[in-house]
Amino acid sequence: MPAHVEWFDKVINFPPRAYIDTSYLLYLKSYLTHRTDIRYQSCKNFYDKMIAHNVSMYTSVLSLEEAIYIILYKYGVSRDMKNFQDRNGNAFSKISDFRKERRREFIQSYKKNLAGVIDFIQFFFNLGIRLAFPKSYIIPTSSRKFTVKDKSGSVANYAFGLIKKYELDPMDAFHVAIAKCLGIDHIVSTDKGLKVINEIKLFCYN
Amino acid sequence: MKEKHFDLQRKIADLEKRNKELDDKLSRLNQLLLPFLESLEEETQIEEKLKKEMPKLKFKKQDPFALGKGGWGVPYEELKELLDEE
Repeated sequence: MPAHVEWFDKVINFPPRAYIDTSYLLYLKSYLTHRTDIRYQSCKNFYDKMIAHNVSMYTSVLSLEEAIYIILYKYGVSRDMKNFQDRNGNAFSKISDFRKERRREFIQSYKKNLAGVIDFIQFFFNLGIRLAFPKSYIIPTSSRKFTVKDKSGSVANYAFGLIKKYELDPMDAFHVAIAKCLGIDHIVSTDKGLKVINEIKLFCYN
Repeated sequence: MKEKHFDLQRKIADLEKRNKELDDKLSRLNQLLLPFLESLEEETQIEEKLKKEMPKLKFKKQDPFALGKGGWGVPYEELKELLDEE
């Protein structure tokens, strides 16, 4: 049975809660500087619809970490380091080499691109998306003894199950597992790859 | 009169029994709740400690889509490439 996928512009019935993934956050952020792009507009329109339908939006620190990594290193520092050469006269291909060999230039690039991160965090805080953590819980095993069950164990278990079942990218699997452990079945993403997962309903950019 | 007296005594005994049952239930409930309360107290203590260590960041509350002039954002093709590599 294929997973339930709905394209952003076709969604009529909105769930009470939805999990937002990294790609969708970055599309929304890029809409700010590229407002005429119809693909970014589609994401922004869907965000407006979720707000209008009182959808409680959730994400996790995974999304923040991924977004910050992309903004700071994968886009920012990686682009800047191409202007410099290593000791053999070749362009840098690894951030770790750039950081080691061109310490001063690395720090300059890091500080410059940090502005983009702060801009993103400010944007994120204003979106009204909740950062959720599946919490620990305690269950009684007898009238006197208690066991602390850490839900992160359930997250890992569910994620590994997804990886095994669908040969899924581990990060995607952890996003889905966190959403499921929070009791959320709807994922908002621009990644069509998630449509193979039967356990979720995917809202995606077409 | 005697009948009434015995009837009252039975009622009192029933009430005492019920009272004891409720006490036991309350005691069991307290035992169940205690770890949750301790966990809640611990969470509150951690929160207070964090507040002292790191003051809460204050971001200007505004329409997120009114922000970002000159902020981070990339063209679609570039963003797609960045995400596809992830």
